[in-house]
Amino acid sequence: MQGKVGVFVSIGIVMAEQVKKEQAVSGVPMVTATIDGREVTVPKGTTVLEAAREMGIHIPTFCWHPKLKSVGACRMCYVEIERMPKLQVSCATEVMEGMVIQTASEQVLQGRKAVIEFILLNHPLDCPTCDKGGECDLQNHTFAHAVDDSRYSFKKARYTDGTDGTTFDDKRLGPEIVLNRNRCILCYKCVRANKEAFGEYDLGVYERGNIAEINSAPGHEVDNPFSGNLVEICPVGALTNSDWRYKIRVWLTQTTSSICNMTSSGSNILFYKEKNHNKIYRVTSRMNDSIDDGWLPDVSRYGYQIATTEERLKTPLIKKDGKQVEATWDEAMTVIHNRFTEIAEKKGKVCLGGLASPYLDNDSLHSFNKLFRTVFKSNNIDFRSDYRMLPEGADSPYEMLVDQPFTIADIDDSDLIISFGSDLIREHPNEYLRMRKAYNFKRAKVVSINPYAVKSADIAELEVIHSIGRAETVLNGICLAAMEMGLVNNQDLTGKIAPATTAEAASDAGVTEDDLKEVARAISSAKKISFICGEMVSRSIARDTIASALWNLYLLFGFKDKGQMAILPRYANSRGAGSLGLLPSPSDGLRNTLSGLWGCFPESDPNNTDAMLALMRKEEISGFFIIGANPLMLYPDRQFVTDGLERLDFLVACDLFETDTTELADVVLPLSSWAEYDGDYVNLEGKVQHARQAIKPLYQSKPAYEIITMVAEKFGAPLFESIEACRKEVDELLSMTHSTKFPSQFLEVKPCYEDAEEEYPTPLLICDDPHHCGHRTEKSQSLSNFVSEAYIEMSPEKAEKLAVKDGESVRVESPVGKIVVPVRISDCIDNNVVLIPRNFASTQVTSLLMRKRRLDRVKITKVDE
Amino acid sequence: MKEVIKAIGNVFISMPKGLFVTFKHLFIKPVTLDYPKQKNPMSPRYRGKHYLERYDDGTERCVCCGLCAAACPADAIYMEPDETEKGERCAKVYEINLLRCIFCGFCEEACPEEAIFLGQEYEFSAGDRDSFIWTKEEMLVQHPRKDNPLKRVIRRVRKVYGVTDKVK
Amino acid sequence: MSIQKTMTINMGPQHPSTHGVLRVVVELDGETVVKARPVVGYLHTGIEKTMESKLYYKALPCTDRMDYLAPMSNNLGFCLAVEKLMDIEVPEKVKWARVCLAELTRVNSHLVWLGTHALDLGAMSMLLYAFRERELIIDIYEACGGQRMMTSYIRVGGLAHELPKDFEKKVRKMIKVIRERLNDYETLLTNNEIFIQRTRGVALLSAEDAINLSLSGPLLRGSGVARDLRKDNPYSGYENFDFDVAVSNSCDAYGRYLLRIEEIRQSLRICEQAIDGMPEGPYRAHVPGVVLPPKEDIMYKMESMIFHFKIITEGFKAPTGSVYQAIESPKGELGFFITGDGTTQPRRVRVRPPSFINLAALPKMCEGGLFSDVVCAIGSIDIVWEKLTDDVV
Repeated sequence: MQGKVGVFVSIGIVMAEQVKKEQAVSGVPMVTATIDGREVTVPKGTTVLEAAREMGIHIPTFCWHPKLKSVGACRMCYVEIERMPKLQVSCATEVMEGMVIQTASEQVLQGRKAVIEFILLNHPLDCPTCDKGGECDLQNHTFAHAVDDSRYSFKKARYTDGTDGTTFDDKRLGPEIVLNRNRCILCYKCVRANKEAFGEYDLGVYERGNIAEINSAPGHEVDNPFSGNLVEICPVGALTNSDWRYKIRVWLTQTTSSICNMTSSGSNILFYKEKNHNKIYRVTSRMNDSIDDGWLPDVSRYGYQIATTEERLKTPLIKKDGKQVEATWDEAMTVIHNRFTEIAEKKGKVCLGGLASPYLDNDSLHSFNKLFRTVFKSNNIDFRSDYRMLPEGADSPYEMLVDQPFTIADIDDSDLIISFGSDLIREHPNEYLRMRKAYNFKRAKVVSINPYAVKSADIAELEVIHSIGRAETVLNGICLAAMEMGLVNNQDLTGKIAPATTAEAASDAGVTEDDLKEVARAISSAKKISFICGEMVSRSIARDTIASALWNLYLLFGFKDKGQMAILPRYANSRGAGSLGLLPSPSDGLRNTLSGLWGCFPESDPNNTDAMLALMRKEEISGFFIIGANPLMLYPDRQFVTDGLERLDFLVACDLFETDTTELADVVLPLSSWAEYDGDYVNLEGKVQHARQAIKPLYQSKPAYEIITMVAEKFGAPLFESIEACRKEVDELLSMTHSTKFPSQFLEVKPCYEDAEEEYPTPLLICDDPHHCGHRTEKSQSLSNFVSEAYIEMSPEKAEKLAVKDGESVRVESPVGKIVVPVRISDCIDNNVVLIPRNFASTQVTSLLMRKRRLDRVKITKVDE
Repeated sequence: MKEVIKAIGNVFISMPKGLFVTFKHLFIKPVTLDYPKQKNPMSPRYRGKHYLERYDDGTERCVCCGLCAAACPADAIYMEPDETEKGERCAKVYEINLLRCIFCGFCEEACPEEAIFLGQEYEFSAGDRDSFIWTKEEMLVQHPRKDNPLKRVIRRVRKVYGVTDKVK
Repeated sequence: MSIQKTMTINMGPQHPSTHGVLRVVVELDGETVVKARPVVGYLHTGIEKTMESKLYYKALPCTDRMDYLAPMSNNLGFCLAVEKLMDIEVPEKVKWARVCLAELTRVNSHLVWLGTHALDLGAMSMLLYAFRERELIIDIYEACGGQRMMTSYIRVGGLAHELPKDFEKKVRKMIKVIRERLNDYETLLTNNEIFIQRTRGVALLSAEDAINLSLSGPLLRGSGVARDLRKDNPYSGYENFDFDVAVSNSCDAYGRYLLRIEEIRQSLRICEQAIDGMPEGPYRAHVPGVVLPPKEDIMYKMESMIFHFKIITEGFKAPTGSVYQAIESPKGELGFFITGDGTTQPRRVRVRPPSFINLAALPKMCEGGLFSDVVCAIGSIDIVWEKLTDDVV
């Protein structure tokens, strides 16, 4: 033990010295000061508070937050500094050479006591009703510093809304947030976080002096996609959320550390559960600087409610005479076994197919893979249910780009961040916040290249809005601009891309030549670049063309040495599913490892989701096993999926609740959510994170791993001796040296435009709402408080042209379908594009889409009342 | 010999004296009561069956803060908070398991709203275990008890956010 | 085949004279006890472990239940130990009130002993008289703490509530009545030849044995050893009181009877002094973060509200360290050994239970005597089972 500690200490010292050296090298001068009699050397610019915390000295604070700039509003962090006449606030005082600082002297304690007394003067006596009671900073600091008596005996000041209706002056600021201004101690943490970290301005400080108050912007609600953080960082109970409000006392709950299942970065979260009720009450962040910085998007914070909702499937269901009736697990397993065996005997095992959800953990995905490849001997298996016309094989430019390494923390140090084809705030909220942080603290340059003005572009130095469906031309244009300006020496690209000049490219893509040149200049001059590509690349059927253009850019500017470029995976374990070979045709290396592990690998034709659905229509796949996925709702051609699934002889679907897909199924199995079992997830960086079991599986649901092994056992072929054996195989697969592939030379890029049709003039984009993710989150009460139904988002100009107002319904028609949705007018969209979220089962937005189209175009007409 | 004489003395002199003490009690008013017809009044601090107090306007005082449950050494109190129509905190479920309760009175001391009191009632036997779980409805007195000596006359201090005259 | 000379008889655990669940395995040779072996463990409450799993203030009600005849003494012992650990000085009034209550408790405990012991030996009316007088004390308990037996009245840092208004009146009345009635008791028992025959020279225990068995309380003083913690190691201000330590040199059950009667008289003397000299002052110390602020304050002072909330929900933290605090309970030396570890719960609580240790004298007292005297021996030890067995394991 002692030895270990010694080693750690020495490693610590070595590391600290290394840091010092690095900093000395990087030119930041170091200063030495004495805090509480101990010397400390820190880089210049460090505050006294940070230096003290580094030494393990606790200084109480209200307004300070490690990820925000200091303001010194609360005065709680007083310290005494020699040769300074008064107490200083340590969070806003920089360490100077030779400073002698006392953090707990008599004078300091007296100062803090006075601060607390002052804060408490008008503080209402709300502890019994306040949900913060028990975890309140104000309580803790008062208990630690003050005395249990007050000298103030006058009437307290009180904010009321004038009606005097309730004892507690709560004001609802947004769908989730409730403000009690009387409890507020005006630390401004919420307003600062909202502004600095999230770039939102819907909360502010109004009035001044004695009547200063936090409030929502006039006429606005606090409903930004990060609003849950404001509640979490509030040091008192001024901001509370409906999620936790009046539910349970904090000391009655237990915490379980886990991983968010809604974002692909895998934010670190903490479940607050009550073990006797077997219920989760809330989620808070678990600060992990390398992943989430302590901020959680609302979808991570409130997404847990999908586990606790009443709508969960409670028992297995079996279809009898066209109706799904409740059944036992045994019955369901017997039916599955009999029907699958029947189909396999009649048509061969190749007639079976499987689709897994990328939300599942590694064990489940791996066992699913093994079930299909060793028991059913089929290569009909996939995990991607919402991309049309996916390429086959692991060597396409697109797949190579998906596999590129990416580190979230590296965004912080990048001096150029490009978001390409990605509405970051909807797809990768954590990376969006990282980008803002780099912009705020390091003055990083942000470039946004998108077909419409996304929200995340508000900090962009350069926003390139190109014509929709011309992404590859923009990239080609940037390459051409660089070559024309002589920023790069390599001229091999000439001739491989079209059009041939920057000017042509600019006019084709609908951007100005200057913009392209500006981007080229920025890329060539940047020292460290983070190039984030998003869903608009992976959803497009021209994804290989765009990926090739990206590769050209990569090679031309030599990204290998100065940055990272990747198409970020979208779901909690997308990356894991890929690394575990849950693809119809995994890479050769994976294939070899898998056949080594299992002793066999099927030789049948590999079919991905697209191909499987096509085969279903031809009745060449007759038995299908869906676990967790909902292709009917997410696959961008609803008719195609419906046709396919309806023609199946036998469909097994497992999910948390009844979905469109489970309605078609012959056997429905209740699946446990990620909070109900232990599991590992691979985040977008390839980092394996462990989510602990918070509660026992609810109702009769079972974790995916158990369901899959039960099926395998029913077929007389147990997959693993134990879950440990499965984990061992998973470890082996994940520890495979992953050789990142690059194209060796420039790729040919021939733009493939799709012409606009007269009848359907408006390009439609399908995306996630910022408060939702996939098909599951609409079951979360809190998230549906924000947005509970689909809408069509359009620019004010577009709305004016259509003569519709906010909230009015429009009919959206495409060649294959039509829906009616309300309009939402937004400043964050333009360029004639409209946007519909796909998260709501009641609006079948995918019925507007066609799988072979690059662009979905629709006709919008006003619905006359 | 001396012992024997003393013993004889004890038998013939001291024991009749003792018998006289017993005999005397025939004429002393008995201290016992004819329970259950007669009952001894309990002291004002007596810790009997719990009840939940109301405000003078009839609203419940309990806000379900959980301090009584936190203070309970026997973990006898279970509660679930809820929100009233006005948006105030209130108790949805408030149960005391009398079989666990040790009548220590800590809940009464902990209550910051002067809502729960241990009353004077001590006769609450029952035939089955379920009837020992008292719910909020059973404990909530129908009217605020004016006669309760422990209930201080406080107004809704939290509402006026100041010291009322009556508190001082 | 050898003839067995002795006979083994099982007494208890449900025998009426064993006051609970004591089982004594007695080996008899005719009427003479050759060997008596108390078997313990029929009642295990695990109070020490329960206390260790609770906050300091929540562990207090456990002490009431260790000896239901002397709740205040147990409260006092625990609170003194915690106060010693946390270095809390209580107001003068609290000390005097605590002494008064502890002495009331002694009277209470001895009265019950007297009644039941006499009943064991055949005197029926003694029980009724003793319980009648005990009622006066129980009424005082009820007026103070609100409960007739499990008072939980003495708290860390003071008392739970202010002393009731009629406290003095009630105590004075009680002193007057019991003083009178004590004479009646003596008339009934002291010179009662039957009682004398049953107790004099019975359950003999030498001073040497008593010391070697580490006995304490009336059992030790009944063997002529004048050890009383109130005099030898005064706590809670006992040094301010004038009283005598009752000692009996007769080493038998009769001597212990006389001694306890004398102790009641002395206790009444102390009570009287405490009532006469009760100083004015607060009923609990002002120790922020440990002692609850006054209930009135939490209605309009935010600081008080926060402290109340935090103390109730999280308890107070005691420093790291171990203390031992013993008091002279009615049954003997009652000691609390508490180890704090800087948290809000004690790491270890160990109680020195006087009844249990005194029970070790039973074989010595019984062996060589008559079988019928075993009852007398058990009675003269004055055991209370709750306290006894929770410490066995």
